[in-house]
Order: sequence, then structure tokens, then C-alpha cells
Amino acid sequence: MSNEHAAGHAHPEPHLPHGSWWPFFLAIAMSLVFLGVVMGPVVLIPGALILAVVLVGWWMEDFRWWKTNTGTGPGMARAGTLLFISSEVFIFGALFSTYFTFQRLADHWPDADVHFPIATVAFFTLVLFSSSYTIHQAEKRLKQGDRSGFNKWWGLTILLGTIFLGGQIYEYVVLISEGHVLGSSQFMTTFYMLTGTHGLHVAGGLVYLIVVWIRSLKGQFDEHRHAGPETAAMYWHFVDLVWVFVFSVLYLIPAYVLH
Amino acid sequence: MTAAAEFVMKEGHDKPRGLRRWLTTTDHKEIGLMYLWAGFIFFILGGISALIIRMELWLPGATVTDGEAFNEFFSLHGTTMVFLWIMPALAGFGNYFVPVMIKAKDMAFPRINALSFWLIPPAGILLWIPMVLKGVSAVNVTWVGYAPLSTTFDNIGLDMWLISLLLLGVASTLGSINFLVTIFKMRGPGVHLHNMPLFAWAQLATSILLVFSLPVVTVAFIMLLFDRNFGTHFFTGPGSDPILYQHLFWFFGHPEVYVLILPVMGILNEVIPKFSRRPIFGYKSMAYAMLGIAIVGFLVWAHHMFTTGIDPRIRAVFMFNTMLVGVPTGIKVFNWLATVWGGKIYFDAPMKHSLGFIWLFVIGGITGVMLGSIPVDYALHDSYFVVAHFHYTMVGGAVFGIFAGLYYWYPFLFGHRMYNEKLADWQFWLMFVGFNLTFFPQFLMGLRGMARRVYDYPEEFTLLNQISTVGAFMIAVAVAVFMLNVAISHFSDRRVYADPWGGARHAEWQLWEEGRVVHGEGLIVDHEPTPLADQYRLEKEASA
Repeated sequence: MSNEHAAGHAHPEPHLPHGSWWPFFLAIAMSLVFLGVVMGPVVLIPGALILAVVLVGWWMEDFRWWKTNTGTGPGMARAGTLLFISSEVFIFGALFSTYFTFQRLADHWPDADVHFPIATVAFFTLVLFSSSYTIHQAEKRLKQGDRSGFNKWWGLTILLGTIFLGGQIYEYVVLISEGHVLGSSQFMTTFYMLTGTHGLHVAGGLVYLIVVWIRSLKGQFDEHRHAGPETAAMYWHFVDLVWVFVFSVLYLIPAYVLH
Repeated sequence: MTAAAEFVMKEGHDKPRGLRRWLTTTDHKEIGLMYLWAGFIFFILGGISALIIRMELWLPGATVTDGEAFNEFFSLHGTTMVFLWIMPALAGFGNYFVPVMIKAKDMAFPRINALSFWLIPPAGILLWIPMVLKGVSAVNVTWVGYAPLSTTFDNIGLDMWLISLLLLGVASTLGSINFLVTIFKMRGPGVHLHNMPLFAWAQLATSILLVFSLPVVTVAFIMLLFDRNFGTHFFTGPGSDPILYQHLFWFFGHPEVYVLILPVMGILNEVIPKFSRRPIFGYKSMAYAMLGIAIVGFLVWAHHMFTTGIDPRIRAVFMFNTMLVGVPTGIKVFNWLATVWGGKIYFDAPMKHSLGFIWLFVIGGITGVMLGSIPVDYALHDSYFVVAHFHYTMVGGAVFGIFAGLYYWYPFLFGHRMYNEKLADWQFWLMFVGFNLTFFPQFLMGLRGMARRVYDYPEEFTLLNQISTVGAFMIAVAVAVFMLNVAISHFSDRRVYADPWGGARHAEWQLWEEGRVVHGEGLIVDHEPTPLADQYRLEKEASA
């Protein structure tokens, strides 16, 4: 209780939330989406729609709670994000283990008929890496109290992330049109699992970046209260870092070392 | 104003009532209670399937069910007991008591805490609903779901099982992150890592295990789902590796069994000193032994796979690591005994269950070390010896510990009511004797070669199987006695507002007596309560 006086009036003691419908509905929405993956669009589409509504509801509650200073205090989100990221490391660890296991078992690795356009992928890689720079600039601006600078750099980050994701989708379209689908070979399976998992992380990250952006455009976050943008940036850097490994293992090593 | 009157007044505070209160609550105590209730419902379901299994095994051959249904019942039994009974029940205790013990006003992420709980009912429904759907069979590939068996059946019930496990995985990952952040960042005045109750340490070690092991099995389950539905060949087909599934599964699966036991050890760390009237022996060694179990727990998974033909050098390393887990576990057992030694022992129900735990868990643990030895494992793999071993740890250990916790914190969990000691006595002895009758014969059957997971067996095992079945029904009666006890206490007028156990008042009891532990209200601690060590000193001086 005493340490918040020491910290000045930047962080007045927040008060606890009292009740929310969203956890209950989010659980239902998640169950429908997961089930929809195997049951097909009849379950998936309504599930995804409910999920979208619930997430908007959840974030609007965040928006209100920011104004009324409801929650458990800053610092929680930072620690939680760090732990979440370290848990995610093991997801990618398991996927890479699978990749290397299959590589060890295979006679030819990668498939002889798969040729990635390294230059194009390198361009999109550069785009993603620069988004790490822009998000860092945005964060720096916010901590200096420059909210409009934050909004510009943050918007630029969203743009760069979207370009990267677009590049990924374009690459998938080309590969599928060439007949390289998920089940074509062990290499393609692990390729799609790794890039797909990474792509989902980029997509999820983008959604959260947009949520932060909208909240910021509506006047939230400043040099004292910036847990939202800060955790979003931490997560975004992590997603970028994972791409270093994905790009090296899936593109560079097969193209320049194994061939 | 007395604590009691204050409690009644706060309860009437403008909170939503009825169903809405429970559906929208973000209070860690109310969520903890919901975990416990949900867990208990699944305990009954898992117990019923266990009874069906035991009835089928009363006589050799297909009698009560056939082989197909038998596979479903024991797969459901395993999945339910592990993921929907023991884990939620322990998460319930953790949710309720960790924030109180460390004097945090709530969990770090109250809404995510509620989300973790609310994922459990849909997961349970997905697991069990195939039993009532026509033409769909429930999970029938054991709780581990090894490929290629699990990729062979074209049965939507299996996909629902996988989705159920994925949902529970998300729930536990979020829950563990929540616990870790709570323990590291939310501790109240005067609470440090090295003086917080050992129950919180247990939850800390458990959460570390879950945060790093669940993502791996999540990947394995998703790959299995893809193999079953989207034409991939992760675990069957050319260039695939069925052993990879086992590695990924047991990288989680073995830490998981420590996830089921560590919080229970945490409960014992609270109960044993309280009922021996002595402070816990070796606080730091207890805390770090739990951390040690968690860390070494990550390095033993391949002892489940000794018979798969993996590299003998790898096997030797995993055998060594497996034996190593015995060290921190032994430290804990000896510390408990040293706590009891020379103490003034009170044999109330929580203490009976705790001492029962030590007795049974040591049998389970030592047979575990036996199985961890490669040659013994070769002989006993997939026999009833293994079944007996892990039931001694999971039932003799985890479930006895859960009952110890339920009795110890009864007035918290059941609205200031108190259980009937005589009925609790009946429950304990029925369960203790019934448990040993059920599972000790399984050691003998396993040593003589009876295979697990089969509905049929040679005639010579009939008597031992029948003893085992009788024991199983005794456990069922014990559970019924417990439920009767809860029902009777619910309708009795007796209320307790003070620590019923006497002796040193541990943090949660002290705050509870002060009327600060109020459902739906955050905990506010504006003073530094008496440190536990001082309480034991004062008590000793008073009794001297």
C-alpha cells in the first residue's frame, strides 16, 4: 500500500473489477471455433462471428476500465506477457523439433521440386524487421509524451505487418497453385505448420496492435499508463524474432546449404 | 462489530445474485469454489466409469460390457480423472487460497481467471457427449492417444476428445501464467518469497511445469488432429514418426503427474505442521525440493518409452534422472516425518488423510523408482503393476490430499459450516481400506503378468480381481459418505467463525477470522499479520 505513494500520483491504486460476462462467452466462442475446425463451416462461421463480438466486448470493457482505473495494476500485463512469450517459445520449439526429426528421417530434404523465391521472401522479411524498428519508435514517442508521434509510428507498424501478412498469403496462393499443399510431403507439411503458426501469430498480433491503435486514437495511453502498447510491442518483437529462425531454417539453409 | 456480523453485512453488498453472480464473477474465491464443484461432478462421472470397469473385470470375458465399450470407459476414466477432476480441484484450492495466503487482493488477471474456469464445462461436455450421441463413440484410445491407434479410427468422438484437451490446455496455460504473476507481483505487505506459505510455493512449482510443458502437447494434439482430418502424415505414413508423438506427449505427460501431486504436497505442508503443533521442518528445503521436482520433472519423460526401442544411451540418462526425482521427493517425506516427530498430534480428518497420503504415496513413489529401472520396466511395462503404481500416487496421493484440503478448509468452502467428524472418520477408513483392497492386488496381478487395458483375463486372476472390485465399491461408498457429510452440514445450524483447529493460526485462518476473506470482495490487508514462526514460538511458550 505504501509503495504507490512513493511512486507518485502516476499510478493511483486501481480498484478491482467486479464481474464480467465476457469470460463466460469467450469460453463458449473458443469452444465453437475449435470444434468448427473439424466440424466444418456450419460450426466455424457462427463460432468465429461470436468470437469477434465477444472480443470486441472484452476490449470495450478494457476501454471503460482504463477510464475508471479498474484492474490489478500495471506491471501485471508486462509479467504476464513475458511468461506467455516463454510458453510460446516451446510451441515453436516443438514445431522445429518435428521439422528436424523429419529432416533426419528423409532421403531427400527439402523436396527437389520446391523452389522458394528467396529474394521476394527476403523483401518481406525486411518489411517485418523494419516493423520492429517502427514499433520501438512508437513506444519511445509515447513514453516521451508525444502521443501523435506514437499514433503515426504505430500506424506504420500496422501497415508493415499487414504487408508481411499479405506477402505470406500471396506465397501460399502461389505454392498451392503449383500443387504444393499441406499433405504433399513431409517438408511441405512442416513448412506450412511453421509458417502457418507464425502467420497466425502475426495476424493475432496485428489485431491487438489495431485495438491499441484505436484506443490511442480515442485518447487512451500516455507517458504514465502504457501497459497496453508496451506488451503489444514485446509480443511483436517476439514474433519478429521467431521469423529469424523460420526464415533461416525453412528458406536460407535449404536454399544455400542443403542444395 | 464482530467478524461474523461484518461478514453477513458484506455479503449483502450490492452484488449480482443467483445465477448471474456465478456466471459473471471475477472473484478468485468464487472461481475457486466453481473449480472445486465442477471437479467434483467430474469425479463422480469418472468414478462411475471406474465402477463399470471394475464390474466388467469381476469375471473373465465380456460380461457387463464388451471390449469396445470397455475401451471407451477406461479412456474416459483416465482423461476425466486427470484433466477434469484432480487438475480443476487443485486449481480450485490454488485460486481460493494462494491470493489469500500471500495477501493479494485477487489474482493478477481476474477476467482471464474466470475464462480459465469457463473453458472447463465445454471441454467436459465435449469429452462426454459422445456417450449420449447415436453413432458416435467416445475416446477409446486411452488417455495418451498413441498414434497410429489414434489415427486409425474415423470417429468424431476422438476429435472431440482432442478439442476438449486443447481447450483445457489453453485454460491451464492461462491459469498458470496467472498464478505466477500473482505470486511474483501481487504479494501483500510483509510477504516475501521466502516466508510465504509453502502451499504458494507448490503452486509456483506447478505453474512453471504447466507453462513450459503444455505448449508442447498442444502442438502434438494439433498434429494429431491434422493427421486425422487434413491429410498430413506426422505420426503415420511414409517419412513420419510415431515415436515423435510419444516424445511430445510425455514431455508434457510426465510433468503433468507432478502437476497433479505438487499442489497436494502443498496442502500437506499446511496441514501437517498445524496438526502436529510444530512449525514445518526445513522450510527452505521444502520449497526448493518442490522446485527441484519441477525442474528434474522436465528431464524424465522418456522413461515412459523404454520399450519403444529408443537409443540405449538415452534410456540410461532417463533412468538416472528418474531415480534422481526420488531425492527431492524423499526430502519432502522426511521433512514431513520430522515435523510430526515429537509433535502433539491431533488426528482430525485432514491429518488422517495427510498421514494416509504419506503412507500410500511412498508405496506409489517407490514402485515408481522400481519402474524407472530399465530391466524392471521391460518386465512390467503395460501390466497392472503400472496401474497400481500410478493409482497409489494419483488416488493414494492426490485424491487423499484433496480430501485433506477439503476438510482442512471446510468452513471457507462451505460458508462457515463444519463437517461431522464421525462421518469423516467413516469416510477415511472406508476409503483407506477400500483403496488398498482395490489397488494392492493389482501389484500382484501385474507381477504375474496381467495386461492393463484389456477387458478379459486368464481365470487364475479372478479372485484378485474380485477383491479389487470390492475395494472399488468401498471407495464409492466412502465418497457417498463424504457427500452425505456435506449435505448434513449444509442443513445444520452450526456455524464456525473461528479457526476450529487451534494452534498457530496460518495466514489464511488469521485473515478469515478478521472477516477479510469475503466472497466477491477483494482482500484488503493494511497491516502486517504476525509471522508464522512467531506464532509457533508464542504457542510453544504458552504450552510450556
